[in-house]
Amino acid sequence: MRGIVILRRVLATIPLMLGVAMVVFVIMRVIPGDPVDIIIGQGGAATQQEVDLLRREFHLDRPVYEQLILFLGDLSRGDLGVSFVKRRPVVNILFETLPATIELAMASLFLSIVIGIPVGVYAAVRKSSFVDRISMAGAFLGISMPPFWLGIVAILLLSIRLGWFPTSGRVSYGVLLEPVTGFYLLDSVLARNWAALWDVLRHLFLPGLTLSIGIMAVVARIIRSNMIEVLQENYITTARAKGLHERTVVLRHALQNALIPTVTVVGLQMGVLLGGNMVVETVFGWPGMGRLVVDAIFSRDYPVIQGGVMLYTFTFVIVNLMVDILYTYLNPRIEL
Amino acid sequence: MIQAPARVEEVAAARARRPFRFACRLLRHPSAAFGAVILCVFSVVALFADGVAPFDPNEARLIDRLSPPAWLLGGGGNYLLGTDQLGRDIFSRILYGTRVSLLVGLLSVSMSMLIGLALGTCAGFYRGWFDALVSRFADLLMAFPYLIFTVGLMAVIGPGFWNLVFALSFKGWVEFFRLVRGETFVQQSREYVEAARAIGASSMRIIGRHIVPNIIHTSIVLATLRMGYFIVLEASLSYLGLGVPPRIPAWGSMVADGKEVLFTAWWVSTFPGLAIGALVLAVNLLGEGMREILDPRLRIG
Repeated sequence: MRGIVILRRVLATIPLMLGVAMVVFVIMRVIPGDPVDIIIGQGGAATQQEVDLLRREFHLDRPVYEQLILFLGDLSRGDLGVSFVKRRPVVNILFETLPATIELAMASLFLSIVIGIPVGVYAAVRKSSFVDRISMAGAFLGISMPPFWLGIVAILLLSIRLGWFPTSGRVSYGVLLEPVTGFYLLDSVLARNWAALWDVLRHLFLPGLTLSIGIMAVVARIIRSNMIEVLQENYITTARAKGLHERTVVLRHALQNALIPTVTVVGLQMGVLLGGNMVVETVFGWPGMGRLVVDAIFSRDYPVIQGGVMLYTFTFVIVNLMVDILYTYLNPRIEL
Repeated sequence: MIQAPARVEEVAAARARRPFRFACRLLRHPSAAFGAVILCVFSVVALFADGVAPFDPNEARLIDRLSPPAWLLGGGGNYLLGTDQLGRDIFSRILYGTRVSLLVGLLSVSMSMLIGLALGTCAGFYRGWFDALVSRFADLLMAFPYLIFTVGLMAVIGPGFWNLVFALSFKGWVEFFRLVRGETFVQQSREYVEAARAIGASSMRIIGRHIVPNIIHTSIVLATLRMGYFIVLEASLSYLGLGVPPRIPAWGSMVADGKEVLFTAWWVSTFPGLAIGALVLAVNLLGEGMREILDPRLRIG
């Protein structure tokens, strides 16, 4: 039964992704002027022959509906076109930067969970205490501060003033690291290069922390309010009456139930994470997909922008799908 | 952030006819009142920036470039918060920048709310193909991460004040639509709507005169909560160079300008960022306060 429910949910993402591709296609056709003029504008003078060639390459010599069909056809084959600037397939360019982006996103998700959950639990258990007030005020600030500014303040204080962390990049010059998977943490562990691992961690920490602050705050707040609610339930009183250790009551009985609704919230926060990713990568010169897209905007490299926006959105759709599936396992009462 | 709209609506309906009492309760709520006061200060600053600002925000005095804040060692000068790399007074630029942040936030949230209200009430009231069509489109827009979507859209339509408002509201109405649609559907089966129908009121009249006044409160709370987010989005877009044109001072682009001189002049990007944080904090405090008053069950902080 659950298998069928999950299958139906998986199948529902196909029209959604198709719709996403169509929205992106329509928006990109709004560009004032002809993309070919833009490319030629960068390359200097061109003969009529070259112009025709380019128009054919981008299917601009066909009617719009045919362009859409060709576009969707290319997309289904994983072909996102060719970059105007780099003259290479967009898919390849995007996938080269993907590991950097995933590594950063994972690091900040990890930080926000590892810090956010204990803070939320502690604040709920010691409700209205000094620590509770301080951490909730901090969480409120964390939600209100723009991530790019937090990144800049972090660079100012921790990199420039104290010199603890590097200001930008993924790894220092001179550190030799063979990119096997593209995930530098993994690469340095595989190569047993502990000096490189330390260097990579130091580079990862500030951008990861910056990106995680907002989500960490949301996690702490939601865990706290769920915990407060759960701690008033009868089964908690029962557990306490049985003489269980308070730690067991809080961590095993209360937290496990408070975590379930948190999963959905964290899933929704992934959208914020992906968007913030673009900004934080720009602040820290992180060579990921976000910075690639921002650079592409300024060189008017539309195929890269288009591909980047789509890849980000597909990631978001898939993450939400996974969260929904995870939710059915955590809470069997829920039907998708 | 959107929780249990049905419950909010229950409480809100009871308070619907008491806007004055609501304002009084809001002022007695300490953090909401605090937020409201800060927001008022920002609004006054935005309105009277010409009178308050000590310098022309765009006047470059290269001789005074990157001079530190007046109260700092070696500051001297008359520049309260220092100057940027072109010698423009940061304090004056922050005062003028309030306009962009407040106006873009206010306009895009109002646009989103109006579109959401119009489409949401119609979809919830008439159902049928219209509801199906708009709902599917809303689902589609929900699939995009917000900032990514606006960045993509701004990349295509180009920077500019109205483009910014357009890009932010293009996806912003969806949340309002979902909230309003659900509430309209609930209200529709209420006796007062039935009574209005019985005395022959037209559908438009029922929506406009009966349903909207009963559900508008939740939308206003959502609008306040979203406005903070919109201001951060606007600042992020400005930071990326996709906001208003460079000649208009905006906080986000000021932070970006300061990034280039971070090693020598920390004040250039620090103060505009603080301004963004303060404004967003004020709006969020007000929004959370409103939500708590409308529905104490949702209390978080």
